[in-house]
Amino acid sequence: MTDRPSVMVAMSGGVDSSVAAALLVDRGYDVTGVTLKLWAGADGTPPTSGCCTAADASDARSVASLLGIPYYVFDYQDEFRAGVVDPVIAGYASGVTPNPCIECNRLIKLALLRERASLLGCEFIATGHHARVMTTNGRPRLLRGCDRAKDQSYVLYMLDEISLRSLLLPIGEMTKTQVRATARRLGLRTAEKDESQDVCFVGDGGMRAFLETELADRLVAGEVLDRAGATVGRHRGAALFTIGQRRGVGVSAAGRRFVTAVDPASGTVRVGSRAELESRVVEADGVSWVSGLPPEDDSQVMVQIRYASDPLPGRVFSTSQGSMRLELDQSAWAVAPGQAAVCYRGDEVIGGGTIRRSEPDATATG
Amino acid sequence: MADLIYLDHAASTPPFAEVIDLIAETLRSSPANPTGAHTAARAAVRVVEDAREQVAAAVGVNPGEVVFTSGGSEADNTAILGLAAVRGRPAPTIAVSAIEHGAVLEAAREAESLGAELRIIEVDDDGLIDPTRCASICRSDTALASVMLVNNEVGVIEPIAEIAGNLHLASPGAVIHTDAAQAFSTQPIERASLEVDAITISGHKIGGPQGVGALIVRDGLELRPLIRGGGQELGRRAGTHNVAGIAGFGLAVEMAAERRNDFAKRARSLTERAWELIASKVDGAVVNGSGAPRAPHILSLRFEGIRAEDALVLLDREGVCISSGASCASGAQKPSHVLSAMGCSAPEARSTLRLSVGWSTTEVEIDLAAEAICVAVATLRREK
Repeated sequence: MTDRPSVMVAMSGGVDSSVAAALLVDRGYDVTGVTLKLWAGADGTPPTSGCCTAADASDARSVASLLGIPYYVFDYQDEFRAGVVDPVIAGYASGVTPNPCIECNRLIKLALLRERASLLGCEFIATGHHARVMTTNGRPRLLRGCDRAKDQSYVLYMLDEISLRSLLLPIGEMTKTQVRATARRLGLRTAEKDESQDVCFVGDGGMRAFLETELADRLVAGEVLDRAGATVGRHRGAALFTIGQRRGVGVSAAGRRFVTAVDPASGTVRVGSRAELESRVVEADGVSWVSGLPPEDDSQVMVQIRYASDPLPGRVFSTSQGSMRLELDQSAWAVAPGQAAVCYRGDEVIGGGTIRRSEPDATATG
Repeated sequence: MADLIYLDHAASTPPFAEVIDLIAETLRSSPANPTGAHTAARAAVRVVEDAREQVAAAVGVNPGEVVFTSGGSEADNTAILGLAAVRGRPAPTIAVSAIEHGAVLEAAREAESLGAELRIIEVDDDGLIDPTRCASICRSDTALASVMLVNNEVGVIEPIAEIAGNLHLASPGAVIHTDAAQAFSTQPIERASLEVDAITISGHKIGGPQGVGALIVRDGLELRPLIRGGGQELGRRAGTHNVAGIAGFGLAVEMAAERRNDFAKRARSLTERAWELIASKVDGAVVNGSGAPRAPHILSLRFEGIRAEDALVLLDREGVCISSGASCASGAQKPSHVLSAMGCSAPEARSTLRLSVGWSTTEVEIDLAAEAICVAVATLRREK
């Protein structure tokens, strides 16, 4: 044990977490690298693409070796399956669109990492997320990463001040280009590694193929209805669809049709025009605020209703314990229950919650 | 290594000093390829054949019955795939125990995917195989059976001679292979006494280098080679010999056999000491396979209420090197198949630590390690 501040870095084998570890070593921290083994393929065969491949752990190990830091692999597959994968599947089966990365961060990645860190006497945990923790007047704040295109603050909205005090996000100040350049300069073999594009446990076939396999005979084929209730097509299972989806809807109709509602219970999928998916009001529950206190009712915030959506101006109201209502100044498109609604003030994440419902924008035309 | 308390000898044990010296000397003095037609080649041949004689003598076979390989895994694969392939075509029946090393199991599964019928011989809760039960599983049509003499994870010693004897009666044409990699350092290995047809030996388990081993194959048994090419090893295993490694392996086999009795006694007293220390300070600790005869150098313990991988990390930070289950588990995600076959639940399997001693292990190391294990277990239990 040393006097240097100690940190446990989650290393996925990707270039971001590799550079995060390297930067911390450089800054004089006592660094321990760990890989959280979360997924071994749906049937126990390690995936060859996406995340958690055998190559990933090997890459993380080799970076740790190069940096001269201890490295361990922690197996949390059972917890991941029970805490993330199964609830995500159940969410789709009930007609919502969960964000697995948010569930993982909430329950697994940061919580378990923190447990392991405290067990080993590490004061801090660190990840390669593109986001920043900045302390102002003694209070930690969560900010977007400097590379807007790569910003991952959206999936970290559930963190509170206590968590942020012991979280280090070393690459948040850098652009992806700078991260890769740093990796190259350090001779990390992950410098040119491609990013894993999809949700880590979804294979090459994408979420739809994954759900088809997992839900199999729980899928109930049914009808695709238009706004008026007329049948315009058939589907293989309502759980396979998400709000705003256009592809894969077997519809014979003029004009572009998008999924406007999904109801696995009745087995119906509704489609409509683009305009029908514009919403001005979003309601969310399971709300958390970074500072611990909700913002004043009717205060101005910027809202993201999806990981990659543009933030929209609006006003936030706390409705009951743990719930909020967002009244947007301009409409959001295809608000999907199950996704997170995250509130920003400038670059700062102030909090968010899980979307439960939205109200269509009556002024939308079409 | 000097400042570590290394107690993972079942994974790999440091080579004898004499072996290291011999390997270095051989690399300098006999670097030629044994397949040449000249003096330099013949010197290398001499080295290989001397080693072959050492191995043959230790196991009570003819030199021609020793096939050098790249280690235990290759020997296991050659036994399963090479011996079975030529028997009972087109679809031989292969029987392997439920607790075999991954190399045997995976090779058997490969054989199955190629058309063989695979039968698994179960074990009881102590990891033991009942010879009568085994014979009835194998019936009369088994072409190849493989049962390890000492299990690498829990150390249980199987009654190979009895098993083989029963099997030969039940399935007269059967070829019987035993993986003796973990057994060699403490158990007598003599082919005829074991009544087997093929034996796997591994260098790095017995004071030899990693990357060298042997498959003992009874004279007269046909073997389809896995590695083809230059016809070395009488056409049974191609590839230029690892001359220096083989020299080291031969010496290690000789030395390990010589020291076997002494080591077995020392190892027994060391692992018993470890168990007594731990059992006296920690509740809910159980020896896996406690009802079976076990090799003296392996101690497999499970501790209620902890995750082994957490303990390993805590111990690693104290400089104590042990393992949980098998060391080949880096790719495996499921709880140990050995412990599962012995009736352990998944949590029980995941709370198992394996401590194994070697020639160099001292009582001081045992005391320090036992203490560290007790502290780690207490820490983990407190944390819950």
